[in-house]
Amino acid sequence: MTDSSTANLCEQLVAIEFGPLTAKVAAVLLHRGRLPLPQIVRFSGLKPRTVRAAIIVLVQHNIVWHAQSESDGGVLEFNTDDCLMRLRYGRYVWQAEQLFGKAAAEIVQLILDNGKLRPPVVIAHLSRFDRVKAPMVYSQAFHQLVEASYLKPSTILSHQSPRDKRIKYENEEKAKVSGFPTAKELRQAKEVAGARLRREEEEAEKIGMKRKAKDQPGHRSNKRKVVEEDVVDEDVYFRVNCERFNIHIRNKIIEDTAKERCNHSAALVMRAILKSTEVKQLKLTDVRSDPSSLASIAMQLSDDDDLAEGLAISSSKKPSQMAMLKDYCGILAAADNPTPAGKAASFISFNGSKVQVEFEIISGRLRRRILEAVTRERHGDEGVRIVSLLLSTGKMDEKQISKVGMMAPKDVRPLLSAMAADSIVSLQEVPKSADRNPARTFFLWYVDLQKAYTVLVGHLYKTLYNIILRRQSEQEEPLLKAVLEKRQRTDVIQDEERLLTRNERELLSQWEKKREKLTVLEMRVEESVFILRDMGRFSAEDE
Amino acid sequence: MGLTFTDIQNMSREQTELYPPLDPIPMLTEYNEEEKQIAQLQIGFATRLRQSAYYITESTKSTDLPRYSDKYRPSQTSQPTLKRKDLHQPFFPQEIFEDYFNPKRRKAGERTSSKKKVNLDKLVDDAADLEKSDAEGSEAGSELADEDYDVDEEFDNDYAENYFDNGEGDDDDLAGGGGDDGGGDYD
Repeated sequence: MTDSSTANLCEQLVAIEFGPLTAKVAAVLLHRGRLPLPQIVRFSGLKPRTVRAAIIVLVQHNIVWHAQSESDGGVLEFNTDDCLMRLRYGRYVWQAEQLFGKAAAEIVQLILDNGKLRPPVVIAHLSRFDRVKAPMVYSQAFHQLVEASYLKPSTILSHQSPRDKRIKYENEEKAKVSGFPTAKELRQAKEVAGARLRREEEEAEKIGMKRKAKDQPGHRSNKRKVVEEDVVDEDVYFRVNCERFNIHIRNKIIEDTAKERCNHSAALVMRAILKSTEVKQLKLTDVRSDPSSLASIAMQLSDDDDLAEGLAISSSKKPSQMAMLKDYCGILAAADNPTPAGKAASFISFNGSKVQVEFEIISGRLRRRILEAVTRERHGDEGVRIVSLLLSTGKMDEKQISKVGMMAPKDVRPLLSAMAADSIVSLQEVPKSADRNPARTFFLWYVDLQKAYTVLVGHLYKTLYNIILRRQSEQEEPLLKAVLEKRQRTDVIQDEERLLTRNERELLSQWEKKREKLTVLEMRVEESVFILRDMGRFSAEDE
Repeated sequence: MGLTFTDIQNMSREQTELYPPLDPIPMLTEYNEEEKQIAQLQIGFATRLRQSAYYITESTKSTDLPRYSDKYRPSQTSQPTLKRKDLHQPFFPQEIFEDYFNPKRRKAGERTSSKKKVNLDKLVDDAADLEKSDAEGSEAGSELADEDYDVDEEFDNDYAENYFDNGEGDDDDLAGGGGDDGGGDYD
């Protein structure tokens, strides 16, 4: 079961891409949780054939899981995370083009259009215009994508609801315990079940590449070496590995933060540091990156990056690239400020030879910045003062807040209640007496970061929903709707310029500009959601 | 503390504003070429999916008069439908997949096989003792659910049984004859 803002947003996303009928089915699953098919048919009020088609479409696009439960038979569950990733598909395609070129971008786009596909189908479809050279180009691009794990194999296991599987494994583990299980044994059963789930998923995903012996003809026939090479398995269905692309989004955000904090050259250095370990960065949940040496970072810097313009160099002689690199690493690691405050403001940890990017520290800082920006907008600078005070000191009484924060109590009180209504601060009651008399309890205010971030993400989902709804309603405006319908006609599709009047074309171009602006806005809001939600997941436990 | 009667009377009776005034009104800052490309790609996904087999539509009968331009408008037939060969069966829940692509053949098989199951169940339930474990009880429950499913199809058989009254159960009581009379009215 998901909360209402997530549910509404997912329903809208399904509506624009898969139609209003599929959206009805999705709405039923979102608002009522996991359901078997006959109940979905009843609640949605649609024909059973339509509901079945909708479910097949949603399973194909990895938005719905299915499972077999003993009590209900076949059940279906909605996968909200993958549904929300659909907002980033444009970004993924663009990223693939930046990394591997146009062919790879087309492959990623085709696979995202269809949910999952087999390699021969992809290559055949994309090289339908050019049968001679294109297949080679596309298969090479495919191979690169799979090897760098941008595409991952889609397994039967990945279509089953992970929660159902976890419950099943836990029950199996609990059944092994004889007698009455203690709390410790229950916890152990849970951990073992979780580990087993992860191991199964990892093993199932290794099937993508298979070793194929490739004969390499040597110059002399008696020196033929059989070289084994990894070749993409043609019978496996591949889907896009969103996690890997999210890594790139995260790295870009870190680079932009470094640019804001220091300057452009520092951003270049940051990019080089991130790129040097990019191949190993597979999950967003890493606390810090693998250590990389200064030499490997220097390799990622191109020759025409001028690092000197970012440093204030006193001597007239220009120092070497490596020396400047070392200086930058020292600045980014806040080496001049070894206190906890300095550590909290650093980007990397640099111990003389090895550099590691501190993802957890950076993301904590970015999320706090968003929280402070929202507080400033809603409650003014005084609100931000209270929030920073509470974050640095912990829990405080109202009188103490007004004393330490140097504000009048009459100002502090309404601000605190307004911020508590927004879930930015929360109350902790400490009773003085045994009967919890409110006149004789301490009320301590504190900032519960987890709760504040969750509420913020809910508000951002609501914003995204409003943007999408605005775009839809702009499309429904009567004049524009008539023009858009006219544009769908088969004769107009072929010859738009002649058959549409000048006014209609102007209207269309205005609409396209509006649509673009709204989409850019949606992407920017989505970036904030990324920072708050995806960059904040460091524990291994699911929600 | 609180509002006095005079305060309430002095309050304005106008409707309060729906939204507080935004000051300053937020403006979208200029976006660069990169963001524009990404936005176009994102819009492209929605446009392509609209024309694909994954956009589910139902055919509706409209009561408008047929017009000349109908031949140019996109019709229900121009929307592609899901094809079995494009989808990999093991990924989907088997029943739903089969029922969608083979709607008729499967139902016939189910009806004859579960009819037999229903008869056996009745015999088993009557003969066995009442103390059974929960598992068996739930199994019987699910069989009954199947049975209910089929009862809808054998609808007319039930009604046919009530339809003809050959006078065997007739009493002098009107109540006894009233129900069957209702069946006899639809002659």
